[in-house]
Amino acid sequence: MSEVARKISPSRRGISLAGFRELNVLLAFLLLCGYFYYQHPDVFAKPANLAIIMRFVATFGMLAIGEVFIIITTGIDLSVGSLTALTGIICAWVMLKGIGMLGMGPIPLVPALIITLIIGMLVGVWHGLFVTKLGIPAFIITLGTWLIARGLAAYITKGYPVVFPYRGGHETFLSLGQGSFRSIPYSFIILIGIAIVATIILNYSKLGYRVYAVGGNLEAARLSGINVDRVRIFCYATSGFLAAVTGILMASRLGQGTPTVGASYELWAIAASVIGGTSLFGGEGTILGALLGAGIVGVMQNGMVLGNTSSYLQEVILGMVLVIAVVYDTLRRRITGAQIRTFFGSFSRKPRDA
Amino acid sequence: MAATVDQTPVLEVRNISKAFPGVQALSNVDFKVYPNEVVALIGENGAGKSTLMKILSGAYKMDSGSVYIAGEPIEPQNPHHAQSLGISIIYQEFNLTPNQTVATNIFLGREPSFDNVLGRAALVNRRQMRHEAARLLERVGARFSPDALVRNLSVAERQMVEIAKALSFESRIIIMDEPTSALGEGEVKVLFDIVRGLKEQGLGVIFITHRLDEIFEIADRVVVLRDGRQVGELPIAEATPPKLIAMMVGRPLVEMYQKQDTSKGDVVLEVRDLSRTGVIDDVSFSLRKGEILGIAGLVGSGRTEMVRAIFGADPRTSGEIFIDGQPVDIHSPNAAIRAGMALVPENRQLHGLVLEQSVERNIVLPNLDWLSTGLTGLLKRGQAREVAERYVRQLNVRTPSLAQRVKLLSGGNQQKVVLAKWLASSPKVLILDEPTRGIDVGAKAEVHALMSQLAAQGIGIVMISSEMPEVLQMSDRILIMHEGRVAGILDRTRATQEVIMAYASGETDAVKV
Repeated sequence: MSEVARKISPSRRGISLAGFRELNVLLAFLLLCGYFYYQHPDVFAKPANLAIIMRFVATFGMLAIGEVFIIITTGIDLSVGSLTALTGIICAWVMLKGIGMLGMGPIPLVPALIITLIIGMLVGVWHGLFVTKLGIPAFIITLGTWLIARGLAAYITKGYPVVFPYRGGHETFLSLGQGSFRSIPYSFIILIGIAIVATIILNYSKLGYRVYAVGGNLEAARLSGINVDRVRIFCYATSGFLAAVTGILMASRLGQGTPTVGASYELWAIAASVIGGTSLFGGEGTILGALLGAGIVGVMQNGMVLGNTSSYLQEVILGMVLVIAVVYDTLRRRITGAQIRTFFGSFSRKPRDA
Repeated sequence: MAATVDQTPVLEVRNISKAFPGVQALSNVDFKVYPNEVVALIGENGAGKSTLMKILSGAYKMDSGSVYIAGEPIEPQNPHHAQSLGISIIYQEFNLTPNQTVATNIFLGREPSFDNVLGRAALVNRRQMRHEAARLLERVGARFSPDALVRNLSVAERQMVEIAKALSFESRIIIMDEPTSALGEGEVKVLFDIVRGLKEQGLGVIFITHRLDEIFEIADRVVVLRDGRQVGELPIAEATPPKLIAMMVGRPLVEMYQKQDTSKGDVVLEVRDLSRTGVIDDVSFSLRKGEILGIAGLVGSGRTEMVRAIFGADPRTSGEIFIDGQPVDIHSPNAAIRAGMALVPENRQLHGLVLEQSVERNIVLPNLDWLSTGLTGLLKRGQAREVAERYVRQLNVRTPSLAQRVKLLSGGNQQKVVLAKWLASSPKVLILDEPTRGIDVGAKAEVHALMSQLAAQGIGIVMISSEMPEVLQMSDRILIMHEGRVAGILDRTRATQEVIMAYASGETDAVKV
């Protein structure tokens, strides 16, 4: 037996487990790109079209990163689409009108961004506190915010957009969402930057180890000395923060804070992370996978627009892709090892422990 | 005793054997249960009781042997099949849906239905279901309505529902797995009345228990298992507690690992007046460096609850904890770990491991603080791997790689991973809750050797164990709990199984020590 022990090889999780799983998603993504390129050879790969895809992916892809953190810890965040609208309006509002309550006039760019980001983060902390301290299901508390944020956004603005005037001295702000570097939109570059930071946190920091452990087995994590509440609150705060980033970028791209933006983005974000291999059972998921998942959703949507697919049908198809991804994920999990028995056993009777 | 020789046994088990990798769980077990008879099945943990039960319930397949119900050979394929054959098992954990009524639970999946144009099972005949449920409840002497919600019932009442459910299958034999472990004294009496009632109705009952006194009250015959073998079968009239204990623990003590004597250092852990309302009451003890303090007691005596409160896993209502003579404020496992404690929990799969993660990640988990850089919180991956590798080697964890998911390891190796993660945290006080439960004999010996070695290094060890030989062999002193209180603390030299049993069952007056 000591012979076996001597043969232990160093962990290759980084390559074998994560890499292999994302390979599937990557292949699906490349196949899709190939297909649409073949269908629309003169349009699809044009820089202008790619920029459109990238701009689109940058929005809900950002939200998907937040969802990865939360879904790994077996939660969910339904609020981010609405929160995108609310934070976009807050950003536009404080830059153009100031904070009336405090008697402050229009606020310059950097403080305005900071205020918006902090508000987004605080909303996330709010969710985290409800989930951890009160034991409210994440689904419910974030569904509440989904309604509240959307309603508040419309209420503050009375339903009208808060528009940045043309040549109003807000060119720097507007370039965030509209500008690009060699036809790569800034917003996409920001997405990649945030994705890299998130990957480092998840894969290389003790915080990331804790996030995975909390999602894998909450009680074991707690008994291992991890402050599990703090870890989970961090995940919700991250999601809220990234919703604020998205809100800012959307407001910048549209040149206005609009109460209607980001509708159903939360669902696309969840879809992207799940398609990318994040497990709704918790404990599993990667940022790279979520980005590829967002890429799949973005490319499909773009390809269908190019093919003049009815926008109603687009939703049908995206929904089906999501279902297929979840079924695939579930089957893959079941078919590993002994779980296949419990899978079939579950049809007859709940397995019991002695 | 109602059983006579010429009667056909309601259940007969003939020459059953079952092996798992590395352990012969059952070898050539055979016994009979007659109608109108209660047979007590006793044995230590790991004696093979649950394996036998799982074979009868169809959860496991036997390697060889046969099972007969009323003289007919049967082969249970799954729990549902076993039930339809007339074997019902009532587990310690009930299988009820709390938010539904008693009647619904009894007929779950087999609701009486109307025979009509919509076909069978289309509409539930609620009146018939309620009526039949009421009749079954009457048979077990229950006083609650079939319309009561299960979540509003007490543990004893839920047990009645389970028994009624078993009766609804027209069971000929009912197997009860430690049915009294969660019951209060009065409730046990009621249960025994039910069991006697079942017996009079012609059923056979197998009663699995750890409490010897119950056997004399309820059983007609006793079957003793040890290490997968049937070591004895006695009519109750011929059984005495010492006889049964001797059969159960039968193995010569020298076979087991013996803790080396170590020089004891200063007091490393002191617990004063620790209480948690309704669970543990005024527990005080101290532990010295290099000492192993065994904690004995019956299931439900508050041993696990006590160590969890010490470790900060559960809140405590009062009490002080001192490490190295210094008072420490322990309000969370994190604080306990910082103070130098480690807890290897009773249930390694639920509380000890992240099953889907690698061996390395599991070992690193409680050590993240010292295995990462302070400023950025980035993990020192090389060092983390080194630590994991060192302990995997030291504890002889049999795993193909550090990347192996712990879910795929055997029980013994999983337990070693839990030990590894805590040893890597260099604790001063190591608390082990049932450290060798459910692991094979080889791994058990390794764990015992390791404990002795750690004590020799000056670590103070608290060990909860339900296995008498383990407690007697490994402990320097033995603390015995009874109903949340310390019933006594004995020196190893003065402890015998009988004395420990007496303390554990609250009969302190019976032994003058």
